[in-house]
Amino acid sequence: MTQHRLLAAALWLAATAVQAQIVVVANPAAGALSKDQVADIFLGKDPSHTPVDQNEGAPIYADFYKKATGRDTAQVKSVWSRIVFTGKGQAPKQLPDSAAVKKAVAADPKAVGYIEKAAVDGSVKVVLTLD
Amino acid sequence: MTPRFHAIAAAAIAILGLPAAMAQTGPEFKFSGYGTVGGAYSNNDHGDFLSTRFAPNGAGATRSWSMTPLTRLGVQADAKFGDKISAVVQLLSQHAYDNSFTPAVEWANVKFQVTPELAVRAGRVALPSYLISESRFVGYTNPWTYAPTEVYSALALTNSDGVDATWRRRIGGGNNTLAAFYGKSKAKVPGDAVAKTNPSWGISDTFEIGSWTLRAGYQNMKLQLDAGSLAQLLGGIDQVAAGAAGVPVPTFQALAGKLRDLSAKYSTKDMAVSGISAGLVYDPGSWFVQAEGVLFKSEGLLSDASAAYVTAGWRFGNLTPYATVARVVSHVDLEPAIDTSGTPPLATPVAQLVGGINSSLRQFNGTQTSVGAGVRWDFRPGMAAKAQFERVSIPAGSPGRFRPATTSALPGGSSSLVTVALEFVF
Repeated sequence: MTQHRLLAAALWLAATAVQAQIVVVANPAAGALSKDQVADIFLGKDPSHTPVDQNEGAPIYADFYKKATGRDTAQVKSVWSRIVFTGKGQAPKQLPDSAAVKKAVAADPKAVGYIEKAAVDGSVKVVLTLD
Repeated sequence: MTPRFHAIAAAAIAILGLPAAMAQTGPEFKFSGYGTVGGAYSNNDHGDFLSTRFAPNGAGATRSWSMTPLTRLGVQADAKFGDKISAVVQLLSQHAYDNSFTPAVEWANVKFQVTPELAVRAGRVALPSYLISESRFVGYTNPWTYAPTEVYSALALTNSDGVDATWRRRIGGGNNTLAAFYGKSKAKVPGDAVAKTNPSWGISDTFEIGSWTLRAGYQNMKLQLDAGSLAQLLGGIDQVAAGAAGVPVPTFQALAGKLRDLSAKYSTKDMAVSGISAGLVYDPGSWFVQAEGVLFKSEGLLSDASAAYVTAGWRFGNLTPYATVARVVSHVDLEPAIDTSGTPPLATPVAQLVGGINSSLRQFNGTQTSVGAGVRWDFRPGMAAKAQFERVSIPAGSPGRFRPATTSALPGGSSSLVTVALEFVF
């Protein structure tokens, strides 16, 4: 019984950790971004920044898009398919993990990515926190 | 593959290859594609349902069930040569004028990003007549199984050979895209006919802010229709006019003049066609509404037309039920009978020729109303299944957006249309 409770608590903690703590990060030189701006950037409506994505299969991907844009994975796929097949652009590069996202964002002043809050370090600047 | 297709494909490869020599760094290539496996059922006995105007037959009078109207496959290659230059080639296989699925070059163009805001393209580009002109065949990105034909078949040409420019900038927290194009188009139509525009040009502006997308556009073209049956009809009018002109009697002279005017009025060369369109999408995520209206003005056999649709949908997890109302009205002015009381020998041929003009006017009448509902199921990433049911009402004297089975009987009526589609992108 105690073991079950511990397990449940651990799972709950793990789940909230994945669910709650996503931060949008940019190059240290960048200014703050609003949630609407982040949504525009990641839905291909704002060419002034370059979105850097996580892997479509990663839990943080679905969670980020739901919180930042109110859209689920299928809707995001549909939005980017329209952009690709109208010749307007390409879907953001999907990087394997938060470390790769940080590296890409640190190297490009126009890049914007999202990572777990726990993964933040001095190489990137937090421009928005999503709860 | 036709020789013409080979030539276009070779040109496309040349377009992709050329800037490679100019590039500083190696080109980046990306391949993607889209497709639909679809079926359509119609119980319209007087015509066939088509999803483009260029298919020779579909579901309805020819056969109740058909896979040809919706099934298609598109593949696209994107190449990026540094920050400024990119190129795209899209091949599309769908039911074509010759009853085949021979792939055609839908797009093949090079884009030059002049500044971060301004881009210029040259080559074969999408003809931007509507809100979703460029993605009309990418079923996965659209709410319905097919783009409402009431609006999207009003001007059915899909691409243009020429240039376009887009100027994209932030205005008041939104994203504004001003675009202009100039070019010409050519499309083969079933029955050995060809539709050509030269030139066609247009401007459009799209403003995206928050959950809103608003678009307005204007388009203008000179259209030529080369069709054997129409040439024969107009040739017949000219012939009778010449015959009447040869009779030195005032009534015959007057008739000759009237017939010449008739022939000139319905000339299929350089028909001036223009259209204005307005569209909007409101999509906050959990539901959406999309609406569009177009007004077309045309000379000759193509009547003025007004068309619109409204679609709304609600998203429940991976299910999206939706409903659509669409209507197109062609404003057809049939030719009145020509008075032949003073030219008795020509009464029958003149009546036949005027009848021929009116029959052609009816063939180009698209008037219909459809009311429908469907559901989209996003059952796995990049794939969706849809089922859609519509009731289509057509007045007598119009084939609606169906391809008529015979040239005389256009009794109108209501029919059911069921379409199912499995759509994917990769």
